[in-house]
Amino acid sequence: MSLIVKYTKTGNLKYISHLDVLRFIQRAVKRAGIDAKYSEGFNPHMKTSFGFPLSLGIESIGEYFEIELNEDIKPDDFVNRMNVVMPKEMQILKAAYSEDSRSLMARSSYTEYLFNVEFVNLDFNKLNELIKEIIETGIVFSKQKKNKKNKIITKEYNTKDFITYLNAFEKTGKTVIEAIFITTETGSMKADDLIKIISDSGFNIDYYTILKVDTLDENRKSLL
Amino acid sequence: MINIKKLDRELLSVEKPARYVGSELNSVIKNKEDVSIRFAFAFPDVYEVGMSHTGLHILYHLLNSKDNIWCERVFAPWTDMEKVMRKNDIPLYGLESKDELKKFDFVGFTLQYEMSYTNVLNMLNLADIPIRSKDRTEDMPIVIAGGPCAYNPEPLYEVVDLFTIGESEELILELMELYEKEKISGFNKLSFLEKAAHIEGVYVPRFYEETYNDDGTIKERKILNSNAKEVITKRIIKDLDKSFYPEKSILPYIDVVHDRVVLEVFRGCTRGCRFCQAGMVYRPVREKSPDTLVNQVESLINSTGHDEISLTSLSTGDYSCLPDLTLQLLDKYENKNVSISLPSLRLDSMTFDIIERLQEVRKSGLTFAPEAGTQRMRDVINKNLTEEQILGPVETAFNLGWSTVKLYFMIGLPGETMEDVMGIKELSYKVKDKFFQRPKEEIKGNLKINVSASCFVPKPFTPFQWVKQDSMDEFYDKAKSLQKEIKDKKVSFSYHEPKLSYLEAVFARGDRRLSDALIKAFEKGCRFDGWYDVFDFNKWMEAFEETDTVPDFFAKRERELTEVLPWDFIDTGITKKFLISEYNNAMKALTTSDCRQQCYNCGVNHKLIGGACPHVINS
Repeated sequence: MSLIVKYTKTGNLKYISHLDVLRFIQRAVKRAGIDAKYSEGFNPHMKTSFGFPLSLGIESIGEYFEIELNEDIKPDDFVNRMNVVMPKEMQILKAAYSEDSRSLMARSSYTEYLFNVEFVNLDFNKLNELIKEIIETGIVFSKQKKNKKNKIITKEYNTKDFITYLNAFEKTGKTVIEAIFITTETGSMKADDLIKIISDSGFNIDYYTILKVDTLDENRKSLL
Repeated sequence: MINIKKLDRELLSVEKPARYVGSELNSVIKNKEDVSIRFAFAFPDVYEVGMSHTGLHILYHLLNSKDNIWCERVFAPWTDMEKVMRKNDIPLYGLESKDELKKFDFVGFTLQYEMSYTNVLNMLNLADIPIRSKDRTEDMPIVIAGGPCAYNPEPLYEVVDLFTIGESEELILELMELYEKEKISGFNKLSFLEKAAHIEGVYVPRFYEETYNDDGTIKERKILNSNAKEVITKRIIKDLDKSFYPEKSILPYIDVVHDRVVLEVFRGCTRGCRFCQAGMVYRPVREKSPDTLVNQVESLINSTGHDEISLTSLSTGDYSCLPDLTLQLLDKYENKNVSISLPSLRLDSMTFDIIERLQEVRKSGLTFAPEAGTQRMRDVINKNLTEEQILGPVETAFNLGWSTVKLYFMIGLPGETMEDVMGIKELSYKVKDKFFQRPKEEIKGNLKINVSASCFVPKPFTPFQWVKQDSMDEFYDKAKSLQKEIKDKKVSFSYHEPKLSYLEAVFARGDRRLSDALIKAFEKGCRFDGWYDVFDFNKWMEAFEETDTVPDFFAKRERELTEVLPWDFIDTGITKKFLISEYNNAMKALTTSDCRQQCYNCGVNHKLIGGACPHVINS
């Protein structure tokens, strides 16, 4: 039985890498005394699979993993038993048995973010113009990447190929930007790149935080 | 609290930011208003090393078990983080509260290794706390230190306000009680230190003064404060079954050096290896009962979800209930994907049926520590191991399917000749022969023998505390000869850097006169001296020169048996008479048997436990 689980990664846990999260969650399953399936062979591993890695420094209230179990546990019980042994910065939000045979990654089509940005002397109209440009005409930006031969090459990307929705509003003196990114396997455009594009366009950013709100399927619905 | 936004802006630019944020499972958060004592447990190395230290977990949870105390952790920031902190004016802070260290009542360092002393200084400096005790004002934290290097505290006499000598589970609480009382009646640092000096195991260096003879040796120690004791006796925990051991341990998010449940099965060691400081200062042997251990494992596994249990001690094969304990643990955990590992096994005490069951799946590699290549040399250091006792278990291991073997040796041992050095090669080749001298059909796997040699560092409170260390030239000579001689595809040789071992020897047996050089080295930028890629030997040599300190005096000088040694005022329970008799035996290559077979009157039974050691069979 394969259970899909939605969880958070907030506060200081935004500094924990993907691999560390994986190990941490597997240990939590052990602490909770949940009878998970293990792989066969010399080094048995707990059968779990995770969604696309979240970049370091980004908090999330929409992370996912899938786990194969030996016991027929009610999803709500799974959530409750796990949350007892998880820290407050990483809590299980929901769980459900999966009917979809595709992998988590294959089901992830979009990623929804919320940016909290503290600008210095912000001209809000100008920001809106920039946002329009980013999604409509697109802004070309370049990134250094390693190619297959491990050589560093510079590649150019266009924002409109990666961002399908972008909207800014002001809330209690702070600027909030909502965004939906197209999820790509190569992760060609990351949430941080948007911040860089905004600041390279002449905006003075003092501080920002990024929250991943959810992973969405091809119909722009939450995976769970 | 430090400026969190400032920290947050910078953390992504450093390697492994998770080192600096805390928030791990089972870490302790308290309400500041509810506690009266803030204690920072300071580990002068990186997070991954410090979090692998059992003592940290014990003392952290012990202190936090008291309602009035909040103990937090702080580690040495790696060089990249240090730059960020200095550039952005972020002071060193406690991981739990993110409050700056300066606001704490105590900063307590654990001294595991002489090469971490510059990190101690750097951490104080990063916390904006003056390095020298005399420059610190009343409102600044009291800097205390303990751990194995505190057995010779003198090189840090100017830095540390108060040392704790020996095992601190009881002492630290007595100290906290005193502090609480003093705080209520109007705190005064001097008065606190005077009263603390009456607690057994507490050493307050400012209450003493040392004078020197013309030849540089110590003339005498003078007591400057009537509250100070002439002799400081180390503390031990008499009954480990009743002693505090945490039910939970902090679970790091990032990969640390020992990422497993660590269970201390006993303290002390009966073997009496003459080079080993731990084997002398941690006497007497005190075991925990299997029942206690099984309970402790259960709560630690349940609270962490670890999949490995490591049974540690100075020589785990000597634990009298090892078969009983391991079988109990195996029965309980074998089917729960939890494995058991046994580090620190001696070749001769190996019980292969247990080891085989433990390592059923992973035949990853076995480590053997013959320490010396020839029988004569092994007798000098009292390793009590014959060649048959080395090769026999090696053969068994090969027959059971192991093919990777690590062999640990030391070079520069007292009285060592080139023949002894070459004995390392010969023994390693004999190990190789054991692999191939078997019927062809039994030879499986690809043999790999990793031979490594470390440079001997004479330590206080060992029978070798008087001997001179080899010069760096001699070390290089010996190591390079071995490197040249060991030419075999199956046998690889590596050696520990002599420059590091030299500096370690200087500080291990140093005295108060090293303080200036240490501070100078720190000022020149020395940090993480135990990390070879950061270690800067030239800066150290400059520091010695600029402070008119002669490091050779401490490392390369043979002492008279009658000389006043810088650590003589500490009583570990072992008498000097015993150390001298062991020294004399060493010079004659005479061995002393394991003290479970016969008591040699080292002294620990008279002073610290009263009566015979429980493990002595013939008593």
